[in-house]
Amino acid sequence: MELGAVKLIAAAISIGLGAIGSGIGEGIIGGRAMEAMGRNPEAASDLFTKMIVAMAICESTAIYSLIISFIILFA
Amino acid sequence: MYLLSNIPAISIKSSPVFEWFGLSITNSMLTMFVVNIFLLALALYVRKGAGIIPSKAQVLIESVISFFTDSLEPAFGDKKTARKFLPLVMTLFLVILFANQISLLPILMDIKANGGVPMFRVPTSDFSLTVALALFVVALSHLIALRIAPIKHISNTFKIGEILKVRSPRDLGNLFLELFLGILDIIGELAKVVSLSARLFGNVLAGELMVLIITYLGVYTAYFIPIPFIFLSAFSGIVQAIIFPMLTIQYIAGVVGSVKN
Repeated sequence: MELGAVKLIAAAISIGLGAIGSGIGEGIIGGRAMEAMGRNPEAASDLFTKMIVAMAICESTAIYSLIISFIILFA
Repeated sequence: MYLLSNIPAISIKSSPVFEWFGLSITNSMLTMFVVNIFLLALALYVRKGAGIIPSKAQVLIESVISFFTDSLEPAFGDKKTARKFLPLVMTLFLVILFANQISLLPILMDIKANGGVPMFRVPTSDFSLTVALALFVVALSHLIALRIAPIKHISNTFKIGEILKVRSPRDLGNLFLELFLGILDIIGELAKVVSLSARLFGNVLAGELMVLIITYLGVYTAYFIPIPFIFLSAFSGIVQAIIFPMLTIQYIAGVVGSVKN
């Protein structure tokens, strides 16, 4: 294969596999937060901020693989 | 094929715009200068209207301050220490918030310097800024710990004191384990720098590139279609601006707390 084609495939595999874990993680966080909000609606606003923070931290593994993809593609 | 045919060149590193006494000024540095001017103007504006009857801007800023005080106090335990770290955390928040949202200003991002290089670039989509911030934060946490209890902080990482505990050959295994865990701690500190900086950089760069690609996808996507993506990018910029100071609080409180007890 040519170098360009290999680069494209490598970038796609990097972000594709990297996004699986963080997708599952964010789903779990969102689902549990919804459950907690349903049980205790008064704490909903506090829980929402915490949920966003936890999601952003969970997202970081996908972001790392996204950076790797960018580096493969553009650098 | 029209798809992405006239997209501007995507570069991950910032490009130098001009030279100033042999120091090459990059476009992200220039934009950081603009951000600083904005922050100064904001500070002066809020200060001018501040009083016992709060102005609208003052209410906003005070709610942000109370948000960070509320998360600082449980992390550090007492109010006095929390109050000490508030300026650092607020500075990080305001700088990253304004730096992330600077691309929402019209026209600014389209200005070209001579040579076709864009004059301005979102500063946090340059890895050198984020890695500098992350290095500063992690180094600061260790400097504070060293100042409070230098010997204890060093012996927390390099477990030299464990050598004294060796009484029999059976303890040697335990000693090697402790020394190995100390080395792992050092790697963990380096990983903190990488994770803090890469998270901010990746999120902002991904938001910028997503808007750029959607805009240049076809003739019809150049107008109105990018609006939800711009919203998404702005939202992730705000979230990252909150995350960075929150993690800063956790890192500093963790290192300081391990020294105090």
